[in-house]
Parts: sequence; C-alpha cells; structure tokens
Amino acid sequence: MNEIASIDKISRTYSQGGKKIEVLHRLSLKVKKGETVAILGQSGSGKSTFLSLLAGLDKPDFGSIEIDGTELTKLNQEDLAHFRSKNLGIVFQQYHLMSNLTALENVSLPLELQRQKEAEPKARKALEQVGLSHRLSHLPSELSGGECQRVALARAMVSKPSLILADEPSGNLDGKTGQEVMKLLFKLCREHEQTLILVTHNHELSRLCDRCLELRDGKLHAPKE
Amino acid sequence: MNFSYKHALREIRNNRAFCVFYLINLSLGLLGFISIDSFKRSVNQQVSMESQKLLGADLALRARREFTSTELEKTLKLLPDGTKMLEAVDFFSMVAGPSERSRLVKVIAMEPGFPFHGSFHLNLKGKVNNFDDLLLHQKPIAWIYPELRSQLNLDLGDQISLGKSKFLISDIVKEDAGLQFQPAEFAPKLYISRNFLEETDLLQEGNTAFRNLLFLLPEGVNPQSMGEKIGIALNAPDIRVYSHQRAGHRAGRLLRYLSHFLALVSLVARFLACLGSGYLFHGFLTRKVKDLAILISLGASPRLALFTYVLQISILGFLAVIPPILLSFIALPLAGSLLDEFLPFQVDAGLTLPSILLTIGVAVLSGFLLSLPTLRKIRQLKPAELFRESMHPAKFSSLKSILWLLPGLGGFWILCVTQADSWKLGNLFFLTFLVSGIVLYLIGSFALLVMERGFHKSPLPIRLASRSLSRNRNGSITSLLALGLGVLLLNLIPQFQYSLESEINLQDPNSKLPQLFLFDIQEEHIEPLSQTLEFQGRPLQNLTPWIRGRLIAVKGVPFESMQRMDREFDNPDDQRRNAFRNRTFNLSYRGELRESEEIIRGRMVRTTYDANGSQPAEISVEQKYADSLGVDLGDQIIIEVSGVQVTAEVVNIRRVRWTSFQPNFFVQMQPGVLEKAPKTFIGTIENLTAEEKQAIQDLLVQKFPTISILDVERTGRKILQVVGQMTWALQVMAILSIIVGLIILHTISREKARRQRQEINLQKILGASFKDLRNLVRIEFGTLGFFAALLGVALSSGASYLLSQHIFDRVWSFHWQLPILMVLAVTILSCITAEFSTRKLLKEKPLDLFKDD
Repeated sequence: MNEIASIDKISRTYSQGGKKIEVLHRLSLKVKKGETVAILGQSGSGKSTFLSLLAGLDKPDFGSIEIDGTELTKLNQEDLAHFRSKNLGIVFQQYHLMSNLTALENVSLPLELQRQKEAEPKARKALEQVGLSHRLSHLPSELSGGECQRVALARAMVSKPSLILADEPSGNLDGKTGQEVMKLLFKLCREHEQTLILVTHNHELSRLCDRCLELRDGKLHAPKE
Repeated sequence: MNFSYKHALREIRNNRAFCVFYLINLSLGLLGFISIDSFKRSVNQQVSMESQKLLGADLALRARREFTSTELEKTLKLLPDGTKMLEAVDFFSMVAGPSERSRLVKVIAMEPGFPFHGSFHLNLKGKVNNFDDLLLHQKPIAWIYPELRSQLNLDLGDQISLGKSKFLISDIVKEDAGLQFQPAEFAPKLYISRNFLEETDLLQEGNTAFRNLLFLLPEGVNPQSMGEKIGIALNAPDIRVYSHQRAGHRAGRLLRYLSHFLALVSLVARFLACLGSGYLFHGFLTRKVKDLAILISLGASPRLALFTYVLQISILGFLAVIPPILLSFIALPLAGSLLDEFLPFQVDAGLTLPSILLTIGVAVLSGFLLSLPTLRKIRQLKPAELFRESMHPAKFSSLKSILWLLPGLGGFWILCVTQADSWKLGNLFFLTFLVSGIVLYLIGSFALLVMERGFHKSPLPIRLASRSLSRNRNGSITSLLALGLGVLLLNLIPQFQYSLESEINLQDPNSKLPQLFLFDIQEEHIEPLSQTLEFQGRPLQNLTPWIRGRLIAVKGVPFESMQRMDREFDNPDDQRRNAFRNRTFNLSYRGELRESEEIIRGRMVRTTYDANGSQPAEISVEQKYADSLGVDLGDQIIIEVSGVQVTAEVVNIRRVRWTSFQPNFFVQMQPGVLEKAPKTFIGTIENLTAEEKQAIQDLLVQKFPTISILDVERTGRKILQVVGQMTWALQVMAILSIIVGLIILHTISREKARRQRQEINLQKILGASFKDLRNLVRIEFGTLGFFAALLGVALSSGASYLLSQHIFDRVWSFHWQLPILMVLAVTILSCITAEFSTRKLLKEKPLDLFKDD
C-alpha cells in the first residue's frame, strides 16, 4: 500500500500574552492510502492545529507535509486552494455550512470551485448517498444537527478527494445520531477507498479506525489504555 | 457560468433583506447625483446648440462706447469676404405709457437684418422671417415684452414715450433672439429700429449704452478663432469679443453655477448613502466571515473568495443605478420649467448617456472603495479558526482603518472638484465637509464617553440605553454623522434665505432701503430734479457722482499685459476673477463713509487734495475688486478719466454691503481730484408708499426723460424669486439627505437589534417586558436623533454665519423656529424609525434563545 500522507518533523509555535507556546514539536506521521487513523488528545493538545496544517490552512514553522506526492509547505495560497479543492475533504465539528445556501447548493460548492460540469447532479447523488434526497432545497437553519452533519459529509465526499480530515464529526450530536453519522462516514470512506484522519477524544470511536494515535506534548504517541 | 458570478448572484438571491436595504440606500444617494449631472449636461448641450440664436450672430463686438473708425477698419480687414455686418444698441431707459405710468425697460435698437440667427415670434405677426424689410425700420413703432403691456396697461396701437420720441406699439414679443448675454433680465425688453434711436436723444454723454457689432460669417469660418484674432488686433480690453459659443457660455453661467453647487449638495446625499451602504456591507461581511473561511477550506483561494463579495457589491451598485435612472427620467423634464429664471430660454432637461455611465462608475467604484477597510480585515482572516468555536476577523488599529479609508476619501475629493467644476469651490466644499464630519465625530465620541461614565446611576432604561449607545460606538457615530450632516444641510440653506429676505425686507415700512434708485442724472438736471422732489416732500438723497474710468496700469504693470497674461482661463474661478477685472469701471469721489461701508484695512482718504503737489491721489478700493486686481494698501494704480491720467495710491480697503441698495462704488477717490471730470449722478428716494412711488416715477419720466429709475422693491423681488428657486432646488437635495440619514438609522437600528438578539431575548427571560424594551429603543434612538439634530443645527448656524461673513456681505440673522422644529422632527422620526425596525425582533418569543447557536 502507498503512502498518502507523509508528515516529517513539523513544529508550530504560537504567541500568547507575550509567551511562546509550542503546540507541535517535531511531529512525524505516515499514513497509507485507504487507511483510517484516529488522533486522540485532550483539549488544547494541538489536534485542531494539526488538522489545519494538514488542510493547508496554516503553515508549520519547521518540517514538511507531503500529501499525495505534493509538498504543501512549498505551495502558495492559490496552489494550496487548488490542491485543497481536488484532494481534501474536511468535516468540521460545527458542520460549517453556508447559512444562506440550500443543502444542494452547499454540496455543489466544491465541484463549482473546480469548475466541474454537472455539479448539481453529482451533488444530488452525494446527498442521496447520505439519505437526504428529500432535503435538497432546505437551508441549514431548517435542518437538524444530524442532517447538517450529513450534508457536511456529502460536501466533503462529493469531489472524491483522496484524504478526508474530520474534526470531531459527532461532537455536536447526541449519542445515537453521532453513531449514525460516524457509521456513514466510515462506510463512505471504505466505498470510495478514501483515507480518513479523524480527530476525536472519543476512545470508542477511535477503535473503529485502523490505527489510533494520541497527541501529547506536541508529538504523536501510541494511546495509553 | 464562472463560479464567482454564480456565487455572487446566489448570495444576492439568498440575502434579500441586506440587498434591498443596500439598494435603497445607494439608489437614494445616486438619485440626486444622476439628476443634477444630467441636468448640468442638458444645460450645457442646449446652450451650445442655442448659442447662435442667443447671440443672433456668429460673432459680435460689444463696447460701452462707439467704435472708432480705426477699430472698424482693423476688424473688417480681418473678416473674410462675404461677411455680413450690422449694428444694434442696447441700454436701460424709462418708458411712459398713455396713462403717464412709467417703467424701466431694456431698449434694443436694431438695424435691418437683426438677428442673423434665430427669429422673432410675435403675437400678431407670428414668426418673423425677413428681418430686412420690416415696417419697424420704416416707422417709429415698437415691439414689447408682454409684462410691459400689463405693467403699463398698454394695448396694441397705444403710443409710448421713449426719451423725446413716441413709438406705436405694433406687436408683443413671444420669443426673441440676439444679444442675450445675461442669464436673466431685470427689466422687460422693448425693440425699436436703430433708424429712430437718435431722435429719442437718449444717448447723451455718460449714459450707459452698449454698441454691438454683429457679424454673419461665411460657412467654414471658425467664429472662435476669428474672434481671438480680432481681439488681439484691436488690443482694447474695453471691447468684448463674443463668438456665439462664448455668448452661450455667458448666458448659461448662472444656471451652471447653480447646477455646480447643486451637484456638490447632491454629493452630500451620495456621501451619506455611501456611509450607510458601507456600514451595511461591513455588517454583512462580518456575518460572512465564517462563510468566507468555509469557502477557503473548500478550495477557494482567499482572493477568489473575496472577489465574489466584491463582485456582489459591484452588481448591487449596478442595480442601484436603475431606480434613479427611471425616476430622473420622469422628474428631469419638470426641473427645466421650475428653474426658468436662470436662463434666457426654457431648458429641456433629460437624462444623458455620459451621466448614466458616470453614475454607474461611481456606484460600482464607491461600493468597492468603501468596503476596502472591511475587505482588508477579512484578507487577514485565518480559516484555520474554523476548527475553533467562533470566527472573528483580525483586529486592526484605528490608524490602519483610516489609511484604508483614504482611497474612498480620495475618490470623494475627485468627485467634489469635478462636479463643482472649480478647484477652489470643490476643495472648500470637501474641506468643510471633512471638518464638519471630524467635528461631529469628535463631539460624538466625547458625548458617548460622557454617557458611559455619567449615566451609571440613572434609572435602568436610561442606563441600558446609554450603555448600548456607547458600547456600539461605530454604529452610534455613523448615525450621528449621517443625521447630523443631513440636518446641517437642511438648516443651512433656509438660514441663508431668511437672512437675505430680512436684509432686503420688502414689506417693512421702516426699512432703510431706498424705494427708487435714480441713475443717468445729468449735472444740469440736479437742481431742477432736487427742486421737483423737494416740492413733492421726498428729497433726493445719496446724490453721488458717477464717473467712467479706464485702468492704465496696476502696480506699474500696464493693464494690457495683465490681460494678455491670462487671456485664456481653464479654471472657472479665474474666469470669474477676470470677468470682474474690467478695464473700464465706475468710480466716484467722497470724503466720508456711508452706513453700508466699512474700512477693513487702512485709513480714510483725506478730504483735500493738492493738485500741484507731487503726492498721488488717495483712493479707497472695495475688497473683492482689490482682490481681483491684486492690489493692497500702498499700491499705486493709474486711472485715465476723459483722457487725463491720474496716479492714485490705495489708502484703504473697504467692505460694502451691496444689499443696502445705496450708491456704492468699487473705487472711491478723495475729493478734489475728479470734480471737473465729465460725469453723471445717481441718487435715491426713500420712504414712499406704493402710490407715491408710482406718482413720482411718472412725474420724473415726464419732466426728465433721460433719467432712468430702478424700482428697488421690484428688483428685490426678482432677486428673491431667483433665490427662492435656488432654495427650492437645494431643499430637495437636503431632504434627500435626511431621508438617506433616516434609512441609515433604520439600517443601523435593525442591524444593532439583530446583533443584540441574544441579549434582547435574555433580557426578556430575565423579566423585561415588551414595553420596557420598547422604551429602551426609544430612549436610545431618540437621544441619538436629538443630539445629531442639535449638533447639525449648531454647526449649520455657525457655518451660515461664517459663510455670510465671507461671501454674502455679512448678511446674517438667526431664525430659531426652523432649528427647533428640525430638532423635534428628527428626534421623533428617529424614535419612530427605530421602533419600526426593531418591533418584530422585540416581539419575538425568547424561546428562540434555546434554538439558535
């Protein structure tokens, strides 16, 4: 199996109240294609920072991030945006749907950004796959939390990216709905042979992944049982 | 379709409330702008189209004296073969009807063939086409304006007395052409033939009559360049050379000044609208920060993500132009008839393509420039924050925000200068506006600070309202600015009107204004005239000699070279200055000041003059005239009076209140120098009832036909009529500004309530009733409206006082009714607007607090 992500000795420091806080310290990780990796960690351990670096939304101070053969740290904003639209799907804990766009329009967005033709039929199909074919023209404010997260899943999957980054996808949902959403996420990733890096502090959920790591003191470790 | 366009259109469709308010705001601001700009262009277009008709020729020479044979020779030598020439004379004189009633008229004595261009439309004869063979040139008959017919109760066939001749009224002029240099005439016109002018005996020495030589050039000859050649060859600054283009430009100048000023006023509404739109868009973009971050996380580059929003305001800017276009299309044709006092012909105003294109450009660009500070903030956005709980754009220092406002201010400055068509006026307006804005901002900030600290022990609603105002500083100051500037404008204009009205004071019987103003009084008429008036119990007052002088040199520089140095003027300010700086001018002499005069620099002239001494004569110069000549205390000028050169030194600079209608002059010489020079006199008659005035006027015309009499009240009314039309136009613009101000207030209160939705709901849960919350809104926005109106009124009163000191000869009087009314109205309107815009939210069930994130 080939590697899809290769993270090599990345560090990221923030200034807060005049003090420098090193959130990630020479962190390295290799992820294989189709693999599902869970990253566990306490609040403030740097999980979100790690995900934003992988998503190319932030840059490390040191080290390199190579995804699908592309070195992210060397790309400019325009190229990063282009790379993200083609190769990455992101699922957020707060869903982050565009409030004034319908479910269908929200899912069409990544395809439109890639100037793909027939964005709407593809988005419709993606929404069908997450079981929301009856909610196409609803605004996020008219959907329940679980439905919103399913729209977000469809949006992350619709352009068939090779890597899905998920930040606590069930964190804002009740137990049962959360489980349903997670099942759906794993199912879709397997069906499309997509790699998943899942950030969570739910140990139960992490066990569903091929590999589980814990972010502690700025580095990845095997989780403490 | 391109993603950006698609997304921008989708955003417009899905954010209807924002878009509607943005459009209303912008459209209102653009309404005045496009209307005035189109009106201005229509006037210019029409003046240039009608210019030949206005002059009645291709080219004309005009002077207050007869042309010498050398001047005629020089002119004819330059004119190409086939040029036709004729002469026309125009002057003011009194005319008496069969009932012995009399009036001041403008007499135009024309040679056969007049005018070369345009035509006459007469009541009886209809359109006159052949000007060579008119009965008018064969018999002593006259054509008159309709108002003279009613003023003197004349009928066709009646005889009128003009000087020593009698003329038969043969027709009434409906439409005329030729010699229309003035935007408006203060006396009705009377046309006679040049052939019968001498018999009237009105053209005595000292009488002011203009001789006009009119030319019809062969085809293909450029009147403008021909005029320039003749001007250079004659080298006589007291002869004015008019191409028809120049005559048209001159005739349209009053309306042009008004439209330039109106254009500036329309920019106030435009600016306020931009302020409101900017605030709206800032709020909108702030709400969209999360959406922008999502777009970026989905693969849009930050530039593309921002571009979609820039595109959105550009599309909205474009759409905002449509309603003003439609409204102006209907309203503009009416404006022409409402401003008919400003042009010698009716203006057919309509929308012009350049105005539409300019307005679109301004609408699209201003939206972009105003949103620059917000866009810049959002450019700093970190989408990585999407992984956190909430999104906020980067915080900028105030200095940086101001820096990003500079391109917008620069754009506004360019508009001010181009719309005023004057560097000085545009800059003055921009600075006044900027300073007023800064003053309002500083006072507003200080007031908010006082509120924050001063009301913490007051009753709960006041405390909450003051807290809400002071902690939403940007919104509060924007509303204060918008409303304050609107009130400033609305109060400023009537303040001027009131001041002028009370100065001219037409109805007051105790007014110090003279009722009749007599001019062209010959020296030999003084005694019999004084006796006649004494006998009537109304003595002749303010008798003042009137002498024509020629400027030979100013501060050692010959006048010819001064004129040549600035023959062409691109800047209207310089054109105005140059027009003021004539070679020939009126002067007088006296050793004391009148009530309407004041020395602002220097000392009074001496009352005796030693003709054999080496000292130059002493003169007093009016301040604006001194400014146009560039002279000050101690400077010397050489004046020629009847061929004798007099060297004079400026010993004082004088301010004159021209609205006093007392005989005043730009240059006053000390007694003892000009007593022997040829002159006429001017004088006034005061304290007359309407009947007495008419009787004296009729008597004087009978006994002294060469004396012209100006009815001051009639002239004053005419001035007020013009001022009234001007005021009306300005008030429309000011009301537009107030409406924009109220819409901004509505926008802000709505936006504020939306932002405070959670707090409002929380207050409801904590026990606040609908009534409590409504009172809170009333106090908050009532206070805002009250302060804005108060500040606006105070600033406008201050500004009107200052402007009256510098522009309107210190004519200023305060009228308290309007300011009080305005403060009350704006306060009440603010409360109503705020209540209307927050009502729905205040009535919302607090349960919503549990639903939304």
